[in-house]
Amino acid sequence: MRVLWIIARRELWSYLTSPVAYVVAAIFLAIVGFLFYGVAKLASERSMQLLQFQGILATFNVVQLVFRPIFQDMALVLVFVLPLLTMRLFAEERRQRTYDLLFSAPISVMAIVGGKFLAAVFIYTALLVLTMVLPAMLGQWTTFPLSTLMSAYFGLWLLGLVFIGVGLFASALTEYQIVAAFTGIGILILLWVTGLVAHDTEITTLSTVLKKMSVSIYFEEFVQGLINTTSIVFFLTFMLFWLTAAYRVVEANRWR
Amino acid sequence: MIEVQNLIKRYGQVTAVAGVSFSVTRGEIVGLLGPNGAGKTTIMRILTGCMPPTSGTAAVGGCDLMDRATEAKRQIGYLPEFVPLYPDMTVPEYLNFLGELRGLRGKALRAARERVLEQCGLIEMRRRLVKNLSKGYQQRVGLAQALIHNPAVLILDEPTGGLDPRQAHEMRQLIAGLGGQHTLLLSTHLLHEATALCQRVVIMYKGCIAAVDEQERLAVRLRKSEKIQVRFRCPPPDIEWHLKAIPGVIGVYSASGWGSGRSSAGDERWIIECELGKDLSEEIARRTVRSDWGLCELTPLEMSLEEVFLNLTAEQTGAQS
Repeated sequence: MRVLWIIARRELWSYLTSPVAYVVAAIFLAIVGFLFYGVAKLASERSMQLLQFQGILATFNVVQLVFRPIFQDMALVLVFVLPLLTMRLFAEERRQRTYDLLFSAPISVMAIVGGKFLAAVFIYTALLVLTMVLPAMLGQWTTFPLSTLMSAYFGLWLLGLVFIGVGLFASALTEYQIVAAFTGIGILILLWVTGLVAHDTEITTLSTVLKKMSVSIYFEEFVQGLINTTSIVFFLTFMLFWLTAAYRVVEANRWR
Repeated sequence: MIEVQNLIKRYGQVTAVAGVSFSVTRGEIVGLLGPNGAGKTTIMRILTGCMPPTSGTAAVGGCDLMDRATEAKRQIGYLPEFVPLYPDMTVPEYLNFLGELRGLRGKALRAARERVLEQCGLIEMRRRLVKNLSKGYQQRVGLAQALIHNPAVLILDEPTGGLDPRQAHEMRQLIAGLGGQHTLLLSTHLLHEATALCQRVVIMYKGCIAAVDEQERLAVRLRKSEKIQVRFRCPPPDIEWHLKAIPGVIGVYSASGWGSGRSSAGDERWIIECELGKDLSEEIARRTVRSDWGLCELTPLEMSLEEVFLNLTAEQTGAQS
């Protein structure tokens, strides 16, 4: 456990001393802020229209009109942002030839993968916490069920863990950070569109299988305020799958 | 302290190490010698647990690298050929990180860090980022990380590679100072480096061990003739003929052609090759003095490690073909 923390601390240090994390965070927060503004503005305009034409002030359903689209958008932004955050984790070790330092130290490859994962999760969690400013601002003018918001955040956090797992796997594959980023984004887009295909396909069996594999469908449940064990287990299992894949690739690197 | 038994490493169809066995006793400094691609780095990477072998066993301090890797790695300090550095860290941060990975913490870590900073002459560099150091200092930082946990075994892969002559000399002095405190296995393709540092050499060629012994014993074993270098102030034009006429002389070569001297008018060196076991120094001296050729130098030549190496690799090539 201590070794995990030593590796994570070194990675955190590297994140905080390099511009990549700051640039990624700034881009993510700017996009999310812009999207939040757009969605909130649209929702308030719709409410005003209902008031004008029907003469009643419709109940401003924040969850449906704001949170649902914004969390879907945030998830989509993460498809592009998290691989940028994880791209250097293994690729740089390989490029700088520092793998041998880690491999020759009395620590397991599992601890190396775990430590790097932990560091990325810390940064990602900090990013999510920063976005909480937006619903807090909305809370000044309207009320909404806090539990639904927390459920959506929890879902997004779990989704991010899977994305980081994919990013780590992609980073372990190559010594070029840019290749790692594109590979990660490619895999995540595939995972994301699985859900969309599941909705569109007319073949029932295929649709069922795709739905069972779709991160977007499980994530949707969290956004609607449903936290069920199946979804949590799905995300954690999927995360472990990608971490194991990353571990296997790093192990395989030792043989070359 | 290091025990390697029938080690084989294959990369697909290519065999990098083909059944190598050798051992290094406690406190010994052993050089792994060979041309590029001989398999030195592969052996070192296997010995440090960076890479598993295809077959065979490697053990450090009695711990097998496959079965008890963690215990074995605790006893090893490794400086790879390309010094692995985190450029965004200062020297103490880098050493702290690697010390912690090897189980040091708190006061012990700080003490170990200060010890290696001093030992490797890095005290003045402590505020510098690793990426801003010269190649020589970066190599020292690499050595410092290998030493931080005071390992019983030090494995150094071409420790002077890429350094200028002065830096290489300083690095060699540093390594020589480590002998006795640690068991040292170092790889090099610089023969004079092996001569200066190592008590014993393991000569590798194309993944196999060509010879393991002390340099002098190897030289004796491989010597096929005696060689004497002579220099005359005023030799006759047919000097070669005169020297060849001495009973026991196999051949006479100009030292410039041999590569060990520079010939110029009035200062020409000759290498006289004699039959093995025959010391012709006295006879050569007598004849040259009698003929008044102005004998200035008469030196029996020892077989250099370079010659040993060339002989061995030539033997291997011959055997393989």
